[in-house]
Amino acid sequence: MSTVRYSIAVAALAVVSAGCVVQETRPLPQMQATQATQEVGEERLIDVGIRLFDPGIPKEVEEDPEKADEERIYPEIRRAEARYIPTRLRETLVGTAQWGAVRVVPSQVDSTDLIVSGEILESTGAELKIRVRAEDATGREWLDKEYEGPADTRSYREGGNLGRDPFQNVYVTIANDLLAARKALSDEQLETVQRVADLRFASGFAPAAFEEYLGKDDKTGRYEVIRLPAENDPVLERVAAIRERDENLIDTVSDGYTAFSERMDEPYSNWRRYTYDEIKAEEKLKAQARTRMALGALAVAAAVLVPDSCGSSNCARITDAVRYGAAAGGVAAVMSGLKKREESKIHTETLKELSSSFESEAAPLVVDVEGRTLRLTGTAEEQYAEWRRLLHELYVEDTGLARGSSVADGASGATSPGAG
Amino acid sequence: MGAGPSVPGGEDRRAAIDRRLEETFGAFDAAVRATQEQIARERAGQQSEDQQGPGGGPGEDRERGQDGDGATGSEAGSRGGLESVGAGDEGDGQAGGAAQQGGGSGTAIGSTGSGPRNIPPDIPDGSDDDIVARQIREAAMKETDPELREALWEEYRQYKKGQ
Repeated sequence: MSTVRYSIAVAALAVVSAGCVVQETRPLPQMQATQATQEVGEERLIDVGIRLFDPGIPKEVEEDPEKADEERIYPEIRRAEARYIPTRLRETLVGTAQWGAVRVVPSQVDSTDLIVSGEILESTGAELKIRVRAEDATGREWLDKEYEGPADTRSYREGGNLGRDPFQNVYVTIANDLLAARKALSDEQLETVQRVADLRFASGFAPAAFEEYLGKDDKTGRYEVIRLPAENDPVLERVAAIRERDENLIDTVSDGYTAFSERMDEPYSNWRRYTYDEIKAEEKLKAQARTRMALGALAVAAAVLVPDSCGSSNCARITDAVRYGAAAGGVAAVMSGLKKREESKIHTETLKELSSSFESEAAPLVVDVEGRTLRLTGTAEEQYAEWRRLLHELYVEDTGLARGSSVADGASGATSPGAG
Repeated sequence: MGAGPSVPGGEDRRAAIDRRLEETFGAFDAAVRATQEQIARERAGQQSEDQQGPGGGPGEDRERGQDGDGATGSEAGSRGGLESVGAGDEGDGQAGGAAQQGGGSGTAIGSTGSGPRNIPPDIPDGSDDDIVARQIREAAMKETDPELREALWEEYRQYKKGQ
């Protein structure tokens, strides 16, 4: 099994890195996301769709593996993280019980109340930096911020805090910011968000039937409810049945990403744990190398510059000794610096090996989950096209509209599951 | 799934549209259910592998939420259609900040979105819960059977007393 293969690689490399254990840093406070203490009213139970993140792979890194090592951006790992990180954020939001349905969704989905999207700016075993944006169905921006944090090394310790993600504080901060943004909105505003999301979905399926209910401000790009359809509207009833199915589909896609994250959990945790040590060891040795070489160079320069103004032989001997000592010490320091630099290269190589090994582990998992998602959403798209046609026929039947009018009349890009 | 035949014209046209919708709903539901079952099997296999694997010792188990019967998020947390909604309290706790507490992240892997259900007023905010307390709390919040839910809350109270 590939996990076993990866574990063996990790174990072998761990031996190479000479008894490395997670280097301790000052313990981080373990933040907890604000949880609901009583039932959240329906009007405030906002459904959240967390899109797969942008992996943030620069083009030059994509094209040049050497650049990848240099920048420590490993494309296959980033692609896996672009699916893993939203899943962790989702778990954090679900754990607060502050939200409605929280799902990880493909990038084309926009029919939910609140869409959260993000980009990975930096992700190593030592540091996570992401940019997160959140926008509700009306087009109102809830947040657009960069979040970063160091790894909590307790999550890396054997027998330690392994249930907690090393970057849980980052997810908690995002969850609390989203909650703060929601708290800033009135019940009425949140109800409008939900109604607009519903109407956008309905318009995607039956544009002719629903276009009169939903307006969009050309200047701000914001959606608004013009008026609500009658509760017994026959097209609306069918749209509600379709919506239920769409949500079920998106839940299934989201569950697929959760399954992916669970499969990735162990090898990814190992990769982060071991790379953390390597990164820290490499950084330390590089810093030592720089310091020693700089001090060594200074000592050699000082030796050369020892003043030669003695009038006696004793003084001259002392001066020579000082000069020799300073030069020898300087050279030794430079040599030691060079050695540290060489040692740091071992860690650099280990990092490359670990990452390359984990890349080969993660890539097929990404292919698997995306393959299933595409199969599911692809066949759903075909079905959605038929439902659109049927709803249009029903609308024509009810209103006496000319039969030749277009199904997609007024629709824009509403061809994908979850697209509103 | 897939595009079907056009609905024939006639006075019973609306009924025919509905019949076709029902047929396609059935096929769609079956296809989605099949994928759900496949995912559930994979996850169950993965979890049993995790438990049997070298890293599956008691101290290393990941904190996972209750999967229950595989219910999906739309069943619990989302609303359907364009129904109107009622009023309620914000219900925000104050468990944020930097609570120094070992254990989990307050997350529930695998559970899908849902709102809290009937948290009794004497239940604290959970900011100082350990893993066990949090799992009981989450199970109680998700439980739809009122008797079982109350039993879980009672379990939670007892556990908290014993801490």
